[in-house]
Amino acid sequence: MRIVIYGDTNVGRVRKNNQDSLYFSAEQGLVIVADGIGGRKGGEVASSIAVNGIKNAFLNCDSLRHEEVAPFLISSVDQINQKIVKKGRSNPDLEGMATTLNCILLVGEKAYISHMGDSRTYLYYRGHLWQLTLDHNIENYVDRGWLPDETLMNNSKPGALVRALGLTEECDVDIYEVPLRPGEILITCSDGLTGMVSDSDLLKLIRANESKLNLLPKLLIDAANRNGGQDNITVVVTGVKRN
Amino acid sequence: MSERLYLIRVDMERFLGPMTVKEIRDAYRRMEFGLQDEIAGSNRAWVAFDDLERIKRHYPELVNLVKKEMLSGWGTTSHSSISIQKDMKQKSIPKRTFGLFSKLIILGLIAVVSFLAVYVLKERRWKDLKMLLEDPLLSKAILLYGDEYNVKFEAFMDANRDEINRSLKSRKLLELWLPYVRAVAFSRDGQWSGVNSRVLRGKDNPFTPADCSQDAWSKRWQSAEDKIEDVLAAKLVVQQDWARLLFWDVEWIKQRIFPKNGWVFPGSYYEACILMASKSMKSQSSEEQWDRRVILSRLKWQQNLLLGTDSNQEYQMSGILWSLSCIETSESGDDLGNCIKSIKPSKDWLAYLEHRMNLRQARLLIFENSQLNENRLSVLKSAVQKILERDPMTRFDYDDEKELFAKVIELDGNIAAAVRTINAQKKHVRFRY
Repeated sequence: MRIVIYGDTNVGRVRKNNQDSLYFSAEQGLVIVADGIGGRKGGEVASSIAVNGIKNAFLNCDSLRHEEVAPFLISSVDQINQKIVKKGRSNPDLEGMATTLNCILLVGEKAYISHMGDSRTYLYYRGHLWQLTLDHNIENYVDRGWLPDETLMNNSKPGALVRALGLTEECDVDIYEVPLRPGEILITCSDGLTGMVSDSDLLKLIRANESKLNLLPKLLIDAANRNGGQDNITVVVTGVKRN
Repeated sequence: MSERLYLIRVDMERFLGPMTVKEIRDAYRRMEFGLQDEIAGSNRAWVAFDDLERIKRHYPELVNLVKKEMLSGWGTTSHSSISIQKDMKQKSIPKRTFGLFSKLIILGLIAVVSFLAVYVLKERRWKDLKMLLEDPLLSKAILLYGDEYNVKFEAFMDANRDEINRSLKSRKLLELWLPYVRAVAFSRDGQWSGVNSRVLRGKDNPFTPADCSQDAWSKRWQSAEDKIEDVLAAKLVVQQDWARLLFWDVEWIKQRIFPKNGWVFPGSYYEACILMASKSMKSQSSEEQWDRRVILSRLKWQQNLLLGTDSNQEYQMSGILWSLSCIETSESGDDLGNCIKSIKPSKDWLAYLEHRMNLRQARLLIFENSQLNENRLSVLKSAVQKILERDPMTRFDYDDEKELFAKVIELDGNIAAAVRTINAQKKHVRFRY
């Protein structure tokens, strides 16, 4: 199997600065997307701490065996979370900053996704599309019975995040394991894409351009901007090819 | 158009597929996933296999597979055939012995059926009767448990662990088994091999630690080492599970109703966490460590308050934990002020303690009266204004309490009527007065 990765980020049509951060490397088998939240500068700082933190942790560790991946991701995310919380508390300009995180680590023939917040990873295969990660927002938590129904009635924003890096000192990151096969495409993105482009339009765009993966991030970003571009947009596409 | 493909999410942790319906059937036969796991088609909802209603709504094309292939096997037992040896076949059982034997069987059956009838009547769980009859192992576990946890029950659970774990893969059976699995887990170290800590926690307690096993607590206490002293001295506010638990409001827990069918022992996940935190602290602290003794005392205090046991026990508390325990058991509004005199809390801690003092003040008025006069009503009004809707430390939600206090004010201090009204409206709380 051979991996190709392409990505892009865009400020959108409304926001003045881009609070999304991203990093990807096909050689390292690593994709990181983070969408910062809070303040004028805070979101930008939080998302860049998250991306750099994961990247550095990965570069400083020895090669990982399958059973070591989840503990590695959990402890790295935990340390980064502590760092964001501490920095937010020590600097009034950054108070309350937080960030989502969606990180894919490719080990052997498997992808490990660590996820917090509402940035997403999708799987595309032979004209089908699945959202792999569960958005950590109030609406989903109520739907799954993890929060009482009243939470939704008492909250004007059902999309408000329940989990993200920097929200609390203890963080609970989701780790998913995905076996890979040639022909599959993983799409990692911030909610600037999914808030503007419906899942069915997303599927149509990917289906029409699955042979031009290098162009796909820009095409998806353009679609989000055509629909309003209300938020920063980040897209990373990971293609699994036959050797 | 290519064949429809589906993805399966196992234990909310790993994915199988994409695969066709035929491949799903084969994977199920190979036991690669269970009924509690979820399936999704392209751009379609994630639905658990055992949620037949939603399967019918979202995946009508899979109903047959789920019903005939997957759900039909549940509740039936397969017995391996035993060949009867030739000489055994030839021996006939004397008629009288057979009569006695069959009477014993009938008596046994009557006992089991009577027990199940009593259980179903007592717990009002008609819908579970079918399950209980279909899963003899579960019926036996309930029978052995009886009124309280005992060694025979524990041995039975241990001996049948594999089979129980297989049953836990069905969401409906999981609900029925969970109280008994939790009982064994939290009587020991807070773990049941083969079951995730989040399953043991359940979904009703979103702001509690995801893992309350003894192991998890050992790690928490170790990582807290350099912060404990400052927290006890009310210098540092720490938003971590260990600190939150020490500040849990036991009265809040006592006033909530936890589904009986979820917990037989301990009474709730809160109780389980306190128990495990205490066990783990005991196992790693020595007599010389005063801060550990203080924490242990606080945990014991919470346990006793929760269970209403041993009020004469001596506690070695100091610092903010002493203040908090003092607030929690103050007998009058005047005593409350004395509870914080011995500490010098930081600004954040002071604001927090004021919230807890006002809460106690309001509760005292409710506990000690059935009707408030004008003076007391104005004390209540002023206290209620300062009670926070969500405790910033424990994240406990005080909406229900605030509604009760508002009702008392609305009814001109008629506590009895207010408590009755709120208790009738809210099935998950039981306020007392």
